[in-house]
Amino acid sequence: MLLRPLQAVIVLALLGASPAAADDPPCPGLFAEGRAPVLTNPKLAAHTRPLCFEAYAVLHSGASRTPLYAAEHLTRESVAAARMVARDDSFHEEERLPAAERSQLEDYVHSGFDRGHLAPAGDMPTPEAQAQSFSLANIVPQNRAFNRGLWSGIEESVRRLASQRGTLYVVTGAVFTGGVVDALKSRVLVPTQLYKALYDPASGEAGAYLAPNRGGGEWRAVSMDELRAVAGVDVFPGLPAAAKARAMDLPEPREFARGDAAERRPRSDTWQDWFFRELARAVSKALRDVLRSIF
Amino acid sequence: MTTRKTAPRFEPFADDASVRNLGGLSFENGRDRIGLHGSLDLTRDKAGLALARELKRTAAAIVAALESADLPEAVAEPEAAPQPVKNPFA
Repeated sequence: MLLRPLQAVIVLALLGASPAAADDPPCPGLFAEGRAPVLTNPKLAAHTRPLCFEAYAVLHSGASRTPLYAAEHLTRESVAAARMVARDDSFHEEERLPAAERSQLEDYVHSGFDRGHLAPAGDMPTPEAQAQSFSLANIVPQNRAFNRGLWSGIEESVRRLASQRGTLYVVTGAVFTGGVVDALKSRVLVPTQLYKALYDPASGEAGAYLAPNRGGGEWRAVSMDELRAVAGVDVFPGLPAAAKARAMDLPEPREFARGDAAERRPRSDTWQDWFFRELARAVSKALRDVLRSIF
Repeated sequence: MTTRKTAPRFEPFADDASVRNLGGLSFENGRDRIGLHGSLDLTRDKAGLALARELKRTAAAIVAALESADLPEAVAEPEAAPQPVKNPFA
């Protein structure tokens, strides 16, 4: 870990001024200032293919058979539209990718890992966008407890923040660190960490949640500079240096029902509402702790 | 854009691909295991009733699928541990 920043510096020096990613991403509306993340670790760039979907864009790696990142533009309106109805979808192989470079449903079956979305289904503003979010080009092997616990809390907190702020650019990515990594069926690499980076164009602030791909609920907030050192990606290349150096205050990851739109439950509720909500939360937490100590 | 031959339909334990989404709750189908992810608010209104009915239908379909099968005491899920490979990005 200590070597990482140094490696990143060396990589940058080798690359000079020419970044590894295309200057014109194919779906610029999904990227902050229309600029796709730049891979500062050149090894990440091998066998990559950009793919556009209705509400997200990925850079897919044929080396890991996973996405490296997924970019989204969340707005108050898109988050409200995403809080929807009953429907059936289906995980599916991404047929725009060469068969040898993509993961298959069988890779995940009986693997012990969840099929973790980078761009979450719960962010998708239309039925078609939601169906597309189940493309395996958007999926990484994710620890079950992490996916269903902390990570879904992070996803919900980001939606809530987008509702409050009005607009957010979000890049969710996979990190592979260490000389050896795990792979499903020796084919699909298991990320060692996941990150979710946010940029608020109104305030000019950015920051990222960074969490290991295991249960336990640890995470930390990092600046874009720190994230680049860990992940080898300059996630929001258009930002001024000062914005990259400082991590914005990130909301504590908390899980709420996705139906809990900020619009539907205004923040201007009474202190009694707040008190009973907090009380309910404390009671349910105490119950959980008790149950956990028993089993 | 993304191609899919047939509209997905959630048939409990029939496949390893389909997903039923009810609000923020999703049922991820599998031939040996159905995973429930997320959370759901059932509001005391017409939308809440529609979701509650859908929840009941889904649970009933799962129970029916289990009842109609010849079940073992515990399903044998041959879990394949991931293999260590050289990190191509390091």
